[in-house]
Amino acid sequence: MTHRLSDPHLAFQAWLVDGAPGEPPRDAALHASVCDECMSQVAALDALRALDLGRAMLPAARLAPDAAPRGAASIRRAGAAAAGVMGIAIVGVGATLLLASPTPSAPSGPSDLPGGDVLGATGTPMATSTDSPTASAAAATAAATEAPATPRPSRATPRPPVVVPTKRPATPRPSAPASPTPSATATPSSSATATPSPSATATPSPSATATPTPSPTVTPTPSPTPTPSPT
Amino acid sequence: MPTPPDDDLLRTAFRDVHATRLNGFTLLVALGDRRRAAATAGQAIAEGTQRVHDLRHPERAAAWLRAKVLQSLRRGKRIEAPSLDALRTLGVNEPLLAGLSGLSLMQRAAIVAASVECFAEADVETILDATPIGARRMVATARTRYLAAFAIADRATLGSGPLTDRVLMVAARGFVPPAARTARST
Repeated sequence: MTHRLSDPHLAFQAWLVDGAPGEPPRDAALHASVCDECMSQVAALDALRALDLGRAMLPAARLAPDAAPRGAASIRRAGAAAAGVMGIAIVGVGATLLLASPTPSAPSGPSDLPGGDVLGATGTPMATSTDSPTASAAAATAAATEAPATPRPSRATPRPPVVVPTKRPATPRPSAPASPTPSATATPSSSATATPSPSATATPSPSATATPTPSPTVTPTPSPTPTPSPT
Repeated sequence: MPTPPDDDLLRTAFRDVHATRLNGFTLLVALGDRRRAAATAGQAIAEGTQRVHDLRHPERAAAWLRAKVLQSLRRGKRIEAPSLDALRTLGVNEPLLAGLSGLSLMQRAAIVAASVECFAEADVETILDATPIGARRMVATARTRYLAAFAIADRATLGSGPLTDRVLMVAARGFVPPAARTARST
């Protein structure tokens, strides 16, 4: 019985898979008319044949071949170029700031950071041009302190751009404005210049930091105030 | 003496004849990926217009274009997410899309070429770049899988279309009501 039923079912399936050419065998069609599975498959083929590919829109590429990829690529290129220009601008601005700022902020240099004393020393040259460079250079080569005069300034100039930017924001800024007035008090630092020369040989940077930091903080504040009050 | 038609005119005519249906074929095979279909079909049309003198026969040209599209799609990355939006205009519904999604790219191309566009066997072979036996087998496998997937996706819908009508007509022709049967026997 099962065999009988399955035969028309299989025959109908085979007819469908073959593309439903002509008419199905009569017994198969009779079976299919009462078989849900067969009828749903007939509906599937009907749905497929009802598709109308002519209703598709024209491909966009017909009007402008490869328009989208080219547009995307050009946008990408423009973005990269803009990013490059921005990067260059940022680097340029940063470099100009670095090069411009070291001179005023230099006096405030000495700070807690390890390189700070060196920078502070390089900055101090404002007060005494000859001696403070020796302190900065001494950090690099302590033994060479004997002939400090000529090579040091050259070294001093390149250094500030390297280290200054990190330190400045922390402490030195406040002292920087005070620096003009301390420049008058820099004369005490000239007393400090006397000290560096001995300290230059032993340990220049700590000694330099130790002495200058207290002296500017203590002396500058009183010194400016007295001068205005008399006036 | 008749002058040969202008090449530009030939190219324009070639595009007008083939572009829309080729895009529909590509959309179906690419499961509704508009951008990819447009790019692929556009490229095939552009190549076809360069060989417009060799592709004068419309059906051979259509098969050649579909073969080109299929080659491009096979080279590209796999189509993963079917999109019904672009396919609705063609008449695709959810169960049909489910049936097509269960097929491979080649099987989709085979069933669309054979059952939707009704290409001749030779053209299906061209499209699939297969031997006659290979193409026939591919189409049969695609139909079997599509029918099964469609039936799973949509059990409730009873067909209403030319094929359904034909089957029911044949079934009715062979049907002999019991009353008539007894009357005949007596």
